[in-house]
Amino acid sequence: MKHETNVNKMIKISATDLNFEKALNKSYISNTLKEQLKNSQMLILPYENVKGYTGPVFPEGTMDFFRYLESINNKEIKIDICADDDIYKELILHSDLVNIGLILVNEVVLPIAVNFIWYYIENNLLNKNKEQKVKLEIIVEKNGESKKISYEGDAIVFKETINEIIKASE
Amino acid sequence: MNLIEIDNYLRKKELDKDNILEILAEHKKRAVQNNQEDLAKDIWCLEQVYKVKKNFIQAFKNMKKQNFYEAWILLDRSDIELSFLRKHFDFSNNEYHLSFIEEYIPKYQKLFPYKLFFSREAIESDFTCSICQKPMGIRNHCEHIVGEIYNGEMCCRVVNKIEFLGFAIVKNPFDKYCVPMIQGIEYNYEILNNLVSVLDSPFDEWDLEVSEGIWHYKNFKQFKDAKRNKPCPCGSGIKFKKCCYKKNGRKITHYNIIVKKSNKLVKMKFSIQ
Repeated sequence: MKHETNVNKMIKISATDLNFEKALNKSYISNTLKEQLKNSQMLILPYENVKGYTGPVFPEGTMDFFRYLESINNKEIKIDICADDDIYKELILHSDLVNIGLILVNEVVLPIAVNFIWYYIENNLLNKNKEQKVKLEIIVEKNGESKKISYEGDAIVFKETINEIIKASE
Repeated sequence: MNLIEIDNYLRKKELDKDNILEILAEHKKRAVQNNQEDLAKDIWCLEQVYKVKKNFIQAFKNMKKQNFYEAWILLDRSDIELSFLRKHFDFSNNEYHLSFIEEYIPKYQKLFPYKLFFSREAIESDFTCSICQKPMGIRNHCEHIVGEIYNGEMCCRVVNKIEFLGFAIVKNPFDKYCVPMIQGIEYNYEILNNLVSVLDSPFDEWDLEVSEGIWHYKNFKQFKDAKRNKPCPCGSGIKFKKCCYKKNGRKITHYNIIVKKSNKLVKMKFSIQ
């Protein structure tokens, strides 16, 4: 996991075998949590095996990000996070590059999910620093198959860049 | 001092009283006792204004005294306090000189020679709310929101457990306190030193232009008769062939500084390899 970046905009699309079913069957997900997460359409996932740490960890600020998503979501989609209070931990790098995280999204709600992420960027990051750089990965699942969109670069062009990618792949 | 007097005092360019935070704390205590939440928040804003401005002024004074690392820490502190205030107070019309400070902190920071920093890597868990001291979990938490003001205090997340993983060396961390101090190597503060020597106040205006170029000793007349085995004309005290001759063709950064004094412009040029 990186501390900083000097790229203006970098997009990578890759194949991944991670989908909702696999995410919910991870060893750190309890049965109670699994039951709670089973109908999720947008799910924040932890990183595993980062910097020698084997357990699941979320990037710095994920708690604020999740609470913000909950506050703006008027039951439009089901948003959740792959953690309960007992296992929730954050990896702190104190970096200038804000890592928003790894987000698994059902293709049906992708435009809404991108809008929600953009609202967070606009109201919580760009309002403090117009030149803020961000990094995030969105895994989009359609009928059990997934592809990963990785974005790294200027926060201000995130939405238009992702939307171009979505349009092109339609 | 009442709050109007403090408000007027904070608009001055010199803050010479050291008890402002104590006085504001008393006012805030009374506001909270009287359930005046909005007033308590306004007082918190005044406290932040004081911290931002006091740290900025102290940073300038430390630069004047050539205490550059102390100045660096104070500039960073001023910047952090300003980041807390930004969402609660609109200072776009330069209220309390805050727009000036916001503009000049990064301008001063650019002139420091610190380019690499240590940044810690750690795992944090077991969080509580600074307002109500209740556990702050990802699912179960109180109604307080980090960064918002409650009874004149900003809500923070208290981290009760930290597992240290390591240090990284980075160019631009969020907080820039950890500057490597290498034994036997001194940082070069020439640009800053020259700049602050012609400034009278932290609120004097100046402009900075930074550009890249290639350094050639042949471009300077003092090198016209330089001999390889003679002392270098730059005044380093070492032989020319081991000094500027070796540096020929290297990339350099030019700093052009224009200081706006009331009746004249002072121009300064520096080049750093």
